[in-house]
Amino acid sequence: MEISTSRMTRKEKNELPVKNRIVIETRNLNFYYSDQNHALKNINLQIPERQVTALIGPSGCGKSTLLRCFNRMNDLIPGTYLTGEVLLDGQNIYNRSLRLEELRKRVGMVFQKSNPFPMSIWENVAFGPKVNGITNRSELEELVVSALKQADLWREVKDRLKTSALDLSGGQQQRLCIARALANKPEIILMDEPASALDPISTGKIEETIETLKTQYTIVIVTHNMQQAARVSDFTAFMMMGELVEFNPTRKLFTNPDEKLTEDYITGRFG
Amino acid sequence: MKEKLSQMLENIKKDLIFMANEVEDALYKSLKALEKQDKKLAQEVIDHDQKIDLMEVRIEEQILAIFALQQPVAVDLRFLVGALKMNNDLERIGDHAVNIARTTQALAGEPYLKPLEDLPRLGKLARNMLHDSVHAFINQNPEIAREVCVRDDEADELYRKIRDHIIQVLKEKGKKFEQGVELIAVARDLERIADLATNLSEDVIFMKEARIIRHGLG
Repeated sequence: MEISTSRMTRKEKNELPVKNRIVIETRNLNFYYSDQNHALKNINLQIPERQVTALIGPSGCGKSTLLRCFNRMNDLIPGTYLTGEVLLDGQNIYNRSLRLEELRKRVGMVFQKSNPFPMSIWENVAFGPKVNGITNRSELEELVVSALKQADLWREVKDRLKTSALDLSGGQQQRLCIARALANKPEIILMDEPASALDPISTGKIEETIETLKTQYTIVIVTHNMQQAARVSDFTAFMMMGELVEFNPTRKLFTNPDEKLTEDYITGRFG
Repeated sequence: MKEKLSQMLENIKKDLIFMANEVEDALYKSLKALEKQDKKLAQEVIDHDQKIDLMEVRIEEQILAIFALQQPVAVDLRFLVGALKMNNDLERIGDHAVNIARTTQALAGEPYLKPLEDLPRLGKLARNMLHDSVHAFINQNPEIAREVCVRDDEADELYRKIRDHIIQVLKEKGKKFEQGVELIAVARDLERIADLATNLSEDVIFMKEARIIRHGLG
């Protein structure tokens, strides 16, 4: 399936990596926090496989809401409802036939604030696989080591796997949360402001990790930091007031956006 | 913050326009000095070049500071990249004006091989191209810029004509070889100025349309 949006010129479409298939697609997606609060308005977006897609936009534009639609995190909020579809490999994730546990296993999530469980580093990473029924010690061991290596944390913690995860630094805790998500062998990783509370060095490590991970995973990241979006993502979606204003290759969006509204926002002339 | 960046960009534009005016003035004076064999006016061009050089450095420092501190994107990024290149090209045009002034001093008092005709024509063409490029920049007008780019071929052709003509005259007269070489060098300077003026216009088109048209890419 090729990526196509009505916003793109033919030239831009040709620049897209058509070899990457679409893993998530929203069709006429509308999300409501209540009847009066229409948070997402007719979103049509296609997320390519093994690429980093950034969602940017001013506070309250709906970017986190959209991200949370991708693994039904919004279901937890009472009174919310949506119309339209969110397709994961062509299957509507809001279809009752798809088990929520299966969805969350396939679509992992890393939050703004790192949230390690009050247990050891090893137990944190092994938690998901254990919940998913893996009990074999050597299999768990392999998963934990692999996840920690992929999250670029292994070298820093390999000698203290039994110590509390809460003793790690903020940046390490966030990479632990990435490792925890990876241990479930997801296809997609959603990241909601994963580096907003971190110092530049820790942020740099998270960004390097993202760069490495995209060879194996599809990543969707919400960020307030436009420079971060520019640095780490292949595609960027700019949203405003619940609408998708522009979706383009990041390089295009940050050098010559199609929409005046996008240009005004990214150059700080917005408002 | 946005007012701050806008103001910084506006200052760069003003400084570039000011520098462009200085460069235009230097070129005008160098050509006049050549035509009139005016050593004093030529010296004025040479002495003034340091001011242009300092302007170039100052503008570059301003642009680098904005890159480092403001992380510009989109239209601002294109403006600054274009401005950085224009800054460099304007300074180079100033250097070519100095070259012409030095030739004027070297040849002063020595009658020309023959009255200068095509050389002033090429000078006027290069000056007009520079002027129109600056005009395109001031008004951010890509249409004017495109017209400048078209005229570059005319400048190239005129340069070749002048060069061939001087060689022919030298062959016929069999003397004043040094003067002939110097005058070909002046023609070469003017042809380069026309090239650099074309670059300036290409930068204006890049700023406005995000299109790179040099090397026949546009």
